[in-house]
Amino acid sequence: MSFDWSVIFSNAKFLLLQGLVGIGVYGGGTLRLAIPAILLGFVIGIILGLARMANRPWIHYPAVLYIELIRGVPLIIVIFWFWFLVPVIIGRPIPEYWVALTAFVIFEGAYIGEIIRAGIQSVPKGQVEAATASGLSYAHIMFDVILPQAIRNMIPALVTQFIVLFKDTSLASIIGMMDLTKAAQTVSERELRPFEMYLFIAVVYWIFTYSMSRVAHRLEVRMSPDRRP
Amino acid sequence: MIEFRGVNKWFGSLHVLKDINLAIKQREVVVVCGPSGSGKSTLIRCINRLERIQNGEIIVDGISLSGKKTDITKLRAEVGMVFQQFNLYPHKTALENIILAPIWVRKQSRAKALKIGKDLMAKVGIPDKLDSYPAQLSGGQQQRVAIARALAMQPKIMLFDEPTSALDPEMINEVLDVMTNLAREGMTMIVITHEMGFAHRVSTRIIFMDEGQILEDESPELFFTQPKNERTRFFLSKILTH
Repeated sequence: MSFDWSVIFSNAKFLLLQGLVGIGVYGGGTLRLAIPAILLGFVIGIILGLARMANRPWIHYPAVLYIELIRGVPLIIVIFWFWFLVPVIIGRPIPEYWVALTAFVIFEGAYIGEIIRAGIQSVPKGQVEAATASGLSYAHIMFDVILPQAIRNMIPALVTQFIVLFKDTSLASIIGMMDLTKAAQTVSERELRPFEMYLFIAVVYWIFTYSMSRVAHRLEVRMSPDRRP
Repeated sequence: MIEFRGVNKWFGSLHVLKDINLAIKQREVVVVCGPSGSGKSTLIRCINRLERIQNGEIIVDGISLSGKKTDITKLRAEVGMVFQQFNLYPHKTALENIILAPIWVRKQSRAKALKIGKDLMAKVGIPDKLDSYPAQLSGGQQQRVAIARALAMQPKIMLFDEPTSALDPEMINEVLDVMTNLAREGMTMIVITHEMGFAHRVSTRIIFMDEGQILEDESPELFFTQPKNERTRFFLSKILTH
C-alpha cells in the first residue's frame, strides 16, 4: 500500500475554501453552516431554557413538548424532515444549505435549552434568597447574582454541545451539501485516494474542536477569579 | 416593630405555623429556639416574605405584608437577614458582596457604598479581607462578611437564621461577638440559635417553639430557671447537659 500525500496539496484550495469555508460555486461550507447554527441555536436555547422554567403553563408546556420531541429523534431524521417533507408542504425545493441550517438550529436549540435550564438550576437556592432578602429586583437577582454563576457552570456542557454540533455538520453531506466531508468525498472518488482525504479532514475537524475546548477552558478560568488559590 | 396576628402557614398538608401571635418592639433581642422542624425558621422567613402565609397578618415597621399596595422590596431593604449557609455571592469579592444592594436598592453612589462597606468590614473585624472571594475566607469570616452585607443596607431589623450552626466550634465566638456588639448598639434582632450562653447574656426575650406553636415566651432569667412548659424543660435538659 502506498500513499500519495500530494493529493491533499493539489486539492487543498477546493477542500478548504469550498468545503471548509464555503466560498465557491457549490455554496455550503462547514464553517458557513456551523457558525450561524451555533449562534442561532444558542439564542433558541436561551428562549427554550427560560420558557421551560416559566411558571405559566402556556409557556412551560410548549417548551417541554418541543425539547422532549426533538431530543427523542436522531439528527439525521430532522434533516430528512426538512429535506423531503417541507418542500412537499410548501410546494418548492429548498437549497441544501438552508435545509441543513434550519435542521441544526431546531435540533441544537433543544439540547442547549436543557443546558441553560440545568445551569440556572445549579445555582443554590440560598443565592436567590440572599439577593431577594436584600431587596434586589428580579432583573438584578438574575443578571448580577444568578446568571454570572449559571453561565460559568454551563460552559463545559455548552462547549461540548458546540463541538458535537461542529462535527455533526458533516451529516449535511448526506443531503448533498458541499461541506468539508462532501468535498473530501468528491475528491476521493475522483482521485481514488480515500485514506489520505479522510485522514486530512479528520485532522482539520480535530484542529477546530480542540481549539474550541482550549478557548472554553481559558474562558472558564477567567470567569472564576474566586476559584484561583 | 414586628407583629404577628393569628398567623397560619401550611406546606402542602403540613401545618407549620399554628395561630402565631407575637409582638416584638424596637431594640428587643429575641432568641428563638426549639427542635428542628418546629417552624422557627419559617417564622422568621415570613417577616421578609421569603415565605408567604395563608392566613393572619404580619405587620413590619407599621406596614402590613399582605397589603395590596405594599412594596415588598422596599420593606425587605429595612430587614437584614443572615443565613446558616452564609449565602455570599461566590463570584464577587467581600466588598462587592456588601455594596451590591446598597447601590441598586438604596441608590447609593459607588464611592459612598464602598466607604460604608470598608467601615463595616472593619467593624466585623476583617478590614484586610476586602478583596478576598468567599472561597478564600474561613466560615467565621464568611459569616461576618454576610453580617456586614446585611448591615450595609442600614436595616431597622436583623434576622439571624442559625448563624453559627454551620461553623467550626472555634469560629462561633467571633460571630457571636459581632452579634453581641450589634445588640448593645440597640439593633432590633431576632436570632434563631441554640447557643444558650449567647441567649442568656444578650437576649431580652426567649421564645421556644415546637410543632408550629410558641410554647414559651419569657425573659432569659425565667426561661432558664422556671420554664412553664414540660416540653421546654425536656428540650433544655437535652441541650444544657453537655
